[in-house]
Amino acid sequence: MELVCPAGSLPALKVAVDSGADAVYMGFKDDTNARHFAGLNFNDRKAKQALDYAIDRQVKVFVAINTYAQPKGWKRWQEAVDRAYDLGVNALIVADMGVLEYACNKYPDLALHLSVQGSATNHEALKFYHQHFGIRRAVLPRVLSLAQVKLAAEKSPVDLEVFGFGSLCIMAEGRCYLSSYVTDESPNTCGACSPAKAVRWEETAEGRESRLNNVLIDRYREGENAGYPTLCKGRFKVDDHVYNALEEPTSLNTLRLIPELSAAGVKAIKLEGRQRSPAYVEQIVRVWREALDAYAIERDNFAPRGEWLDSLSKVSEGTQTTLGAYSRPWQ
Amino acid sequence: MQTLIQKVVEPLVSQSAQVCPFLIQKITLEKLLSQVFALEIADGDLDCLANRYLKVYVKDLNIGWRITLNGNHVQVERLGGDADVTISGNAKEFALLVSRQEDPDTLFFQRRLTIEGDTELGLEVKNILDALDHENLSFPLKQLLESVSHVSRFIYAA
Ligand code: SF4
Repeated sequence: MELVCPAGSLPALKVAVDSGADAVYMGFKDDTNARHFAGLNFNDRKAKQALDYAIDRQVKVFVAINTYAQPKGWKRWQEAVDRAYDLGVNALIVADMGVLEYACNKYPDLALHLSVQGSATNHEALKFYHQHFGIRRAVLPRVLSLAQVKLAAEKSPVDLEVFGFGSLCIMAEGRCYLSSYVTDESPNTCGACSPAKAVRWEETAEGRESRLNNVLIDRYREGENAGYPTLCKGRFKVDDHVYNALEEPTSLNTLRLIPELSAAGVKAIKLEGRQRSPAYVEQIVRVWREALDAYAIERDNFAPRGEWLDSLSKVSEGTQTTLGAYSRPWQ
Repeated sequence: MQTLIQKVVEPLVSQSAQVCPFLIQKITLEKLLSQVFALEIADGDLDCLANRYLKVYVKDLNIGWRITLNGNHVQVERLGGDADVTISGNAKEFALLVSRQEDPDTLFFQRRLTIEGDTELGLEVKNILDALDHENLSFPLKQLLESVSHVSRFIYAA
């Protein structure tokens, strides 16, 4: 399986390449990608350097243009596609049908991957995107159980990529408006869940308070691990009981599932975290490279090593990991 | 052994930092930062710090500075006074960050680093630091980073 790794900056891209990525994915410096944060991502000069670095070392480069084009900014999305094509990237990761159509009409030879934000959860949906836009690969949403992934893979007309590791975003991908509800901006429209300008942290006598647009979403007591300030991971009072009603701060980790995902025919594993630093990218790519290499040799005897799990837990949100929806037998 | 070093080295650094006159800290830091961020300043990436202050506070050493951009160079001021965003942590955390051994989000999740004030400004500065290509740094600077990395690995290896 191909290892697809995140790069929010040139140094992150370089360590991903050096640590064993088969492909890296990145975004431009605007709201055309779902990690639109100040200071993050690539301008033209850096994108060119990134491409040269990766291609020289036989590593593929994908560009994420995976937000939903807004009526006022349609030109920006078109320009992003043009720019990526001119750079000579290996594929675009796209969610919006308008952007998909623009790209496939204008550049029929450009490989298109359906972003996780496109939320195609079954083979009929995959067939639709394949027929209309000629996508070659789709990233499956993190809401599917392993059984559902297998089912989609059986009849999928395109290659499938699944998430292997990273901060968990639980909602029906591409359809979550929790962030919009509190801040008026969401990942799909503006490229950021809980935009930093709406986030305030305060260290008080009772612990760290996390606020989103002045709404208190969590208070971490002394010694409690923290997570990202997203509404889904806040603690709320439900029937007089205060708890993580939607999701705990946690990261998805599917090292254990490598054999099953591979047997299901999954072609690529994606690691999340373009917003993270080079140190994180280096740590997770190294572990996953070792694990995939070990699986290639050990096959049925493969078992994740303790030290891999430890290093992944250490960099995780809330410092804990889960199998997420992959292990929900009721689905 | 490690705790011994921690017991000896940290107070030493702390004391010398506190004894070292502010003017010398200021001149050294301004020169260092302006050199490290020369490209970023020229590109306008650091404009977010124009007329705005980032406070860096090293808790266990009780030292820190307020940093801003004045025209084309970085300006360093005394700790006292307002800042738009404050990043605080212990010396260990800053050493691990600067030498790229740890990721700031990891330290933040583990409560070893705090950000208070204008989160967006703090995030932008973090991202600019991450995007800094160490390969472009001058030889002495690269060496300096290497030694921070070695020393912190030695003292803090856990
Ligand atoms: S609120 Fe949570 S589930 Fe919704 S987009 Fe943000 S991270 Fe994802």
